[in-house]
Amino acid sequence: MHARIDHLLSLRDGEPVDVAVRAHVESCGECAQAQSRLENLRRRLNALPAAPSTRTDGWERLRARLSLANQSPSPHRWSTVVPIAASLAVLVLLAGVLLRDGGSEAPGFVAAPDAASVMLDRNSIEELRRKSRVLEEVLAALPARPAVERAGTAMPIDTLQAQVQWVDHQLSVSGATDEAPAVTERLWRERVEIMNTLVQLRYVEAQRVAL
Amino acid sequence: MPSLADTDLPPDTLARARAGDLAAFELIYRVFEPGVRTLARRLLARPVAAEDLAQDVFVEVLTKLGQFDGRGSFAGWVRRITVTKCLMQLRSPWRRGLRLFTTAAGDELPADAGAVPASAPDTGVDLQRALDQLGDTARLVVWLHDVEGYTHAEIGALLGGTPSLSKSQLARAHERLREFLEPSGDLHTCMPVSTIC
Repeated sequence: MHARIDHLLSLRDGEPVDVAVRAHVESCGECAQAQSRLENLRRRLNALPAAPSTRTDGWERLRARLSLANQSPSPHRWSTVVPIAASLAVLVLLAGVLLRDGGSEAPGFVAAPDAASVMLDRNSIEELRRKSRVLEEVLAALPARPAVERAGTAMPIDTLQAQVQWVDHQLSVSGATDEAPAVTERLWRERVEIMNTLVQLRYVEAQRVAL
Repeated sequence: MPSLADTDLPPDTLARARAGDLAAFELIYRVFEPGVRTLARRLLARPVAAEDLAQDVFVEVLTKLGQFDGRGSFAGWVRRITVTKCLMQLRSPWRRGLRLFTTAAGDELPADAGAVPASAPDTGVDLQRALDQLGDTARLVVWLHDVEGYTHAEIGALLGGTPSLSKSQLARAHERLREFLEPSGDLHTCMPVSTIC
């Protein structure tokens, strides 16, 4: 009658464990040995050395990126991106319909609801989460990004991906601190809107490759 | 290597960085870079991806210093950003070309995962190899729980699940690690055979 590994881990971590399990481990040599192995493994994990770096120019590269990040986007860049995105929005909308069975809804292109109609409750957040998931699925269904990218679409796509990551980070923080539902809802709404734009641009990019 | 959250900055560094002092930026980078790179390396299992991600982390940290509100430690804030970015990379559909993010149900042993010889010296190399052979979720859970000190509730929330998900992943991960590290050992030493187990 030996203890399971999850019980041994709980004992190792000082978590509550059934009294009978604890008593068994104390009296069983095999289980005590197994628990000792788990403790030893944790010690070894904590003692692992820092991962070696293969580069020596990390700070210089970071400085260069920070300089770029501080530069405001040039009018030329946006004058290229915005018309492209706008002119192909219709194509994207059509793709969204085709990507869904039945075409009853176009989840990839979720319109932001009017602020006055926003319901600050869990149902609203759940709906935004659902839309976000659907957009992720649409994105996953698109072909892989081309090996050679156009600056006009690649840069905004990279920016949007970074924005999604940042929103996810904020969501993880707000989840951990149990902030007001209004904050969580705003973040999810932002995520949906960014993902929406991202899907559109990725579709444009995929169309170009196909052509 | 201690947890990233245990890293300390000299006094006034943050204030100077917020004022745009480039030397303070560099100091933050120099102090935290090994920890951020190492954490990313452990979670992503790909050295090059970890170095790239570490750069992304510092771009975010240094351009968003104003958003650090002082609740909790700065090191904890940097760690949260690192973990979030790692998770995003593991989940991102556009980055799945190199490695699929395995789910709780799909943490299968990679096809090329050979057992680590029991005679391997304890340099950490065998342990790192064993970690790399775990599925993404299992590796993340082991590292965040056993080294970074995350609770099961925190890990469960990060994975979009419950504390039980984290606990079960941790147990499976340790079973796998033992298989990798002690291939000739008796893997059935501890089996549940009673109502207490």
